[in-house]
This record gives sequence, C-alpha cells and structure tokens, in this order.
Amino acid sequence: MKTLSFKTISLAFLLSLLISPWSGNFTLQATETQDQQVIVNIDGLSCPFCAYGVEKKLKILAGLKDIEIKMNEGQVLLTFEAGVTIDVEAIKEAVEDSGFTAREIILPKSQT
Amino acid sequence: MHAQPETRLIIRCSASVMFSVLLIFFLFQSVHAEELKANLTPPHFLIQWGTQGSALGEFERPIGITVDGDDFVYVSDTGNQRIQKFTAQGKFVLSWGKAGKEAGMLDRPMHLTAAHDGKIYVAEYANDRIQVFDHEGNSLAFIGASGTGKGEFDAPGGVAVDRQGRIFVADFYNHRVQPFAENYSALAQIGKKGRIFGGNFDYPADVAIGPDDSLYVADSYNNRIQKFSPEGKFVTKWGGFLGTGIKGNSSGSFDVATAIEVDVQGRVYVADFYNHRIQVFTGDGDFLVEFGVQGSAPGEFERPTDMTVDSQGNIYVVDFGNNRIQKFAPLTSQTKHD
Repeated sequence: MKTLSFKTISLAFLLSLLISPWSGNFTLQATETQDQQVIVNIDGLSCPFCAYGVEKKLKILAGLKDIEIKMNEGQVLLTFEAGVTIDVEAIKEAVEDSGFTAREIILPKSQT
Repeated sequence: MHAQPETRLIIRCSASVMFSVLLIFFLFQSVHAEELKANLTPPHFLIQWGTQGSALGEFERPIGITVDGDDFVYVSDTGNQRIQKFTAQGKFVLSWGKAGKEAGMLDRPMHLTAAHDGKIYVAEYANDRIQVFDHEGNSLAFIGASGTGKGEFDAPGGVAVDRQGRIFVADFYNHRVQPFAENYSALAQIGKKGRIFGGNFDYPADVAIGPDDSLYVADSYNNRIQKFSPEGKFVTKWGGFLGTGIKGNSSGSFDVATAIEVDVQGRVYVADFYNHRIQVFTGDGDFLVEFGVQGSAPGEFERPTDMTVDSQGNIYVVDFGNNRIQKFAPLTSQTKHD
C-alpha cells in the first residue's frame, strides 16, 4: 500500500476547498427539485362524477405534475413541479368551478 | 266587490268538479301504480365478477356498462382508463384503452352505449368527447370538443343513440343534453341549467332512449328523471314530490340518479346512487319495483353507478364501491303496459 505524499494531501485539500461552494449549490438545487405536494380537503367527493369533475377542473393548474383523488377520504393530493409558485386562489376557483368548496388547503412549508 | 249568488254557485260548482277530477286522477294513478307494482318482484341475484385491481377482469372504480346485440358486456373501468369486454357469464374477452388523448386512448370513460349501428359510444369525461369504437376496441371516430358552444362539452357523462342514428349526450357541467345528427353534426341543445321546472337540469349524468325514441335524462343532482319526446319536447318528470328534485329514500325518490336505462319493453331503470339501489318504473314514471340495499354481499350494492339489460332481460349492475359487476335474473312478470 502506498503512503500519501504531502503534495497529494495538499492538492486534495485545495480541491475540496474549490468544490465545497459548488456542493452547497448542489444541495440547494436538490431542494428546489423536490416536488411540492398540496392537500385539498373537499366534502362530498364520494360520487365519481363529482370527484372526476374536480380532477378535470384542477388538471389545468399551472405547474401541476400529478393529481390523486381519494374519494372516500374527500381529499385531493396535488403534486406541483419544483420551484412553481402555488396559486391558492386558482385552486379555490377550480374547485368552485367543479361545484364544490375547498374546506381546507394545506400547502407545503416552503409556500406558507 | 261582492259576487252575485249565481256567480258564487258557479265558482263553487267548478271548484268541486275540478277537485273531483283531480281526486279521481290521483286515485286512478295510485291504483294503477299499485297494480303494476303488484305484478313484479325484485329480480334474483345470479352471478358476480370482478374485484379491485388493474389486472384483466379486475376493476378500479368502474362506472358504465352496456351490452351489445350478442349479449357481450362492456364495462368502463374508469380508474384504470380502459374498457373491458366480457361474455354474459362474466368471462373476460378483451380490454382496450389507456390514459391519453390519441385515438384509442381514453381519459375518464364514464357511461357508454352499444348502439343499433353495431358501434360502442364512450363518453370521455376528461377529454370532452365521445369516442366511437367497433366491437374489438378499434377507434372509429370522435364526436364533440371542449367548450360551451353548440356541439361542445364540459364533461360528457353519458351517451345514447336513437333508431334514427341521432346521438344524445348528457353534458354534465353545461347542464344540458347535446344532440347530434347521424353524420355527427350538432343539433340544438335540449334543456338548460335550473331546477324545479321541466327542461331544467342540474348536472345531468346520463341519457337513454325508449322503444318509441323518447329521450330519458338522469337529471342527477335534481334527483329526478325527465322524459322528452323524440322531437325534444318536455313530456314528464318524476322523482321526489312532483319531480321537483327533493331528494329522498322512499320508493320513487332518489338521492342522486347517476344512470338511466330503458329495456325493450319500455321499463325505465334508474341507478339511485346514495340509496344503494336500482329502481324500475314504467315509461311514464310509475314506480314498479326496486332492489338492492347497502352492503357487499351478493345482491347488495355500494353506490351503484349504472345498469343494463341484455336480450334475455337479465340485468347487470355496476357496483361501483365494491368494484364488481352483479348479474340479476329478468324481472319475473309482465306489466299491464307490456
């Protein structure tokens, strides 16, 4: 096994100093790439015509990546793309357009 | 101002005559309905198939059902974004569709109908169109587009085709029925948003055609059924008190009527969603029989969404909450209307 020379250790130290600011940025980038999940609680979603109606109206929201309707729980899970500013009023309007009122909208911590 | 004694007498006589006529009419209706009801018993449970899942023959929130002239059964497996075809014994035949907008793809297929022209018409709730298929699942055509104008939809829930080839669509969020000619050109809409009065709709989810080409509409959130002439003129309505839309759980009342079907004898079947039952009426709305209670045992339902009747009179019900299809024997006797 070879022993590490002083030169090699110094070079490694310098390189780590150079990389460290970038690695900080990478961490930040990783946070920004995380999807944002919004929970919308709506009463009376057990009828599929209502539930899929809510789904249809919410689908047009900007930055929406995925939508899951939990009929029995009366809950809609919205997954937005990273970095998108979530428009709560647009969510409310879309729900109202489908004939319902959003009882509660739970935003991710980054947007509260 | 005081009326003359003769005038008062005439008014009193007229009122008495009118009251008597109304009394006789309601008495006749009541006796007539009881006679019809007395002749029918709830159908017997035969078989069931399906369970929750995405494998072939399984369902994820199934909604619509229809049977073709050869008694093959088609189910819109809405949660799985596909149509599944079965034999009358529930044996899986084929499946088609996946989520999308391209030909052959589906987005929330709801009610569907196997028409006299040999084609399957599927109402696509999220794609705002009717997609026409052959019996093997090959896409043939699209009807309609998104919007509120003539020939456009906002969430079509159900579709029916009459003997003239005209296509009628329950346009759920536009609160109307949108008809089309045989060549798919849009015709004048039937009805508008509203309550109480005939011709007003509140989220209609399904349509059906009677043997005489009468149009029946499941006026879902008005908790009633409306009947129209083949020319689109309002004929009658029923459900709750005088068809005004008051929901209830007594016979003849509904708690969200999600689907309608008419058999070859003109009997009208209604999926009474939150009452977990199917109700059957004459073509004029006289109550005949009902079946089903809430539950998951054979013959029980968890929010039924649709039903259809095959050439033998067997009844197939989409048991939405239990992710299964249940088949029942034909209604056991003929009514005096038949």
